[in-house]
Amino acid sequence: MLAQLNLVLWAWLESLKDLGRFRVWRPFLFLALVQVVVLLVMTQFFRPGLSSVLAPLVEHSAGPGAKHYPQFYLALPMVFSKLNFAIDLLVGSFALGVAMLVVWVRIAGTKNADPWGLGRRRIVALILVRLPLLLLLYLLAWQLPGLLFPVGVEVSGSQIRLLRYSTFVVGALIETFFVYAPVFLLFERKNPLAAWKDAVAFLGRVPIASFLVVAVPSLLQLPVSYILRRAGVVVETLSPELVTGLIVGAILIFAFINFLIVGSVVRIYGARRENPGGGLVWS
Amino acid sequence: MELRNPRRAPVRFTHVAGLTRPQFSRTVRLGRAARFAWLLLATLVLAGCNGDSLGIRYRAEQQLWKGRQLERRVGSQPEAAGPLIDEAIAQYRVVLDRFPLDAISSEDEERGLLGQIRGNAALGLVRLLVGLKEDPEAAIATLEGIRGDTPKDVTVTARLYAELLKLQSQFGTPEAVVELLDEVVDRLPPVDANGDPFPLVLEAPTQKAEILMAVGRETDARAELQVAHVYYDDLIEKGKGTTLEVAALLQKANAFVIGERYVEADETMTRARESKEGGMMVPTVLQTQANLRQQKIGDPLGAIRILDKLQKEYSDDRRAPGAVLQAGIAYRAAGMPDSALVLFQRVEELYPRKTTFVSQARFLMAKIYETSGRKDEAIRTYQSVSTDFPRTASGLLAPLELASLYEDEGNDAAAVAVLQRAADDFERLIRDLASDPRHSEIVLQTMDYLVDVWTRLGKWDEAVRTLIGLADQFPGDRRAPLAFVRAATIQEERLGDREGAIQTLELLRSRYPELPLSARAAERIAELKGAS
Repeated sequence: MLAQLNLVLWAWLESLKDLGRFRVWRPFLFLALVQVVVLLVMTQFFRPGLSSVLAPLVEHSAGPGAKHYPQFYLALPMVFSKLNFAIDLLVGSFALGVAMLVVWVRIAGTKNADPWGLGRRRIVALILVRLPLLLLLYLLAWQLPGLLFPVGVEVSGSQIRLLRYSTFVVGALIETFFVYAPVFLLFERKNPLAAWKDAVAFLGRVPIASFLVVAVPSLLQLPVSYILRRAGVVVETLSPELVTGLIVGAILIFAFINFLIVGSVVRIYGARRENPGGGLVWS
Repeated sequence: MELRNPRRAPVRFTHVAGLTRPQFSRTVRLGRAARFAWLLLATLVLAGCNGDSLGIRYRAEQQLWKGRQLERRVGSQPEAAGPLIDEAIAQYRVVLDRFPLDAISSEDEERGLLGQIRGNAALGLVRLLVGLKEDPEAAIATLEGIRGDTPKDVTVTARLYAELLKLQSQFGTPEAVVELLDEVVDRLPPVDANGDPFPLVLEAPTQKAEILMAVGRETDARAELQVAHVYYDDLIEKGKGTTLEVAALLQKANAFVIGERYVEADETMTRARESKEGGMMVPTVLQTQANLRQQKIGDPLGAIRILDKLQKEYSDDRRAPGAVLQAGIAYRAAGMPDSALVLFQRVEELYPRKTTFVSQARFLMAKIYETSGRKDEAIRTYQSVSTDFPRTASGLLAPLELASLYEDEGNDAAAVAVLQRAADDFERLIRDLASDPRHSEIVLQTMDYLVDVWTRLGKWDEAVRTLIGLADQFPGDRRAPLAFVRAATIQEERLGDREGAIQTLELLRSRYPELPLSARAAERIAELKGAS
């Protein structure tokens, strides 16, 4: 137990040392950039050329009222978070895979490594290995509340809060189960199934450390969600467009959360695995 | 030179670009991806160029929101209101000028929404133009230009017409109002989307008749009333069993009242309250019917029956205490003071906490005692009204009536004592309540009665002081200019103070130059100056 806590602290401290290294940041910023571009495009959903595709998407995500101003900005956090599942799957799987490789290259001091190239070559496998995680998170975030509290059922404030915090804990647990899968997929050249199997087996050796490296940085999500839930106040008292700024801020905070999780996960893997990175072939 | 070598140039190019061979090939592949992305984007643009109705509507909404936010700020930042008003007006104008209804084809459902947005922008603009810029002509022009924009949105159209009617009634000619009322009936349905009657539309035919009567076109007004009856009969038939039937019956009754056919109006009101959907309206209708019987038909006993029904069947309705009181007044008017006394007493028994009604009932009881020669009971009752309800109109009036009673008995000393005590009480009341704007009406009323008290006591200086105080304290009240006139008259006639009277009239002229009273004051000033 103490050894695992020690391991977590060490992993965080080592990861924070990379804060100033742009090379390590690049995959996270790439993902953030894609998210920001998609977000900005979404805010222009009413423009000719975009409206034919985006307006039905907005309507499907948040109802017909969301196609009106300023209601669109009230719905934007929800519309974007739904859309973000797709971005996370298609771009996030790749970017986080590359990030793991970049962190490993940095730790191992490997020369002539091409993490972006390797990530691209294994993009399909990366998407597959992350798909169940994102599906479970989607069900947890968007389907479970509807099942627990069907439309028309009166829900108290404490029930909502309980659901919110339990969703956070369960979400962190689910993510912990899948967090090492891309590492095994990339570093040990496993197929997605074998990567999940090995990831769970590895998790059994460092369960507390793994949960902490996922859950603690994710705590930063809570104030972000709190602010985004108050989009109505921003719209009414400041400017509806400011909601976009808030979401951009949230994207950057999520980039930092991912930075800490990926950095720590790769380091824990390196510290606790015999012959870590044994399957890495760069060319 | 080497760069020109066709075989070596690509290799050199990668070097020049600072890329290694794998990086270069990646760049080439990214280039292909970029080309694909552009192609996809171009396809989307072409697909979306079919119509921009959503964009037009959305941008109009955006503009309307900006206008509304600025308007809200005008209310919350009065110190910066000037430039904000102009900015808000500009934003609303942008909605009207830059997003014409024709920008969207008539089949598109976004057109209806754009009409709604334009309607709301026009209403916002009118609020600012009339309320803050004092420019009703521009407001009328705005509404006239837009009233046809929202044919499908009856609610917004009705609001536009209601606003326009209000402005035309205030600033336009009667002919323009009549024309507009015609348009209202032609363009708007009598009920909204939920089936609820539109008072604006239903009232239009009778309003027209009233306006024509007011401008002396009696024959046209009678003809309009005939048309109104046909219109209402049609609605009564069409709306059988709905709220429209009730509303149309009530409007028909109103048309009968305007045509001075009171008995038919009464019968129609009975039909309205007995109809299937009349339920919620019954107390209002009963009250109106009682007034009609009492004031127009001259049937106080008929009015009492109606009021009795109102009190018994709707005892929790806010009109119920007034109904008992009114029934008592009707008995008194019918020459049945004993029955009136019973009902006045019942007001206090049934509604002891409704001080306005109870004080009035007790005051009227005192009046009955006084007129029927029961002086002692009258004195006791007046005193109790004054003591128990000092802040009501009846409580303020009671000492003055009591003083009159003593004067009639020849007991001048008692009358003076009552008036002197009333003056002290009134002055204390004014002092206590003057700083609270919620009590401004009772303060004003008390000052008015205090002037009467000083006048009856012959304390003319005090009366002038109170009148000037009233005018200073309530400059916006209609009684303020009259207070100056009363003060000047007392100064001139009772105090012989011509200079003071001139000064007071000058004050009236400087404060209310637009009033006809000021012109009269100027003439009087000239007369006073000439006489001196």
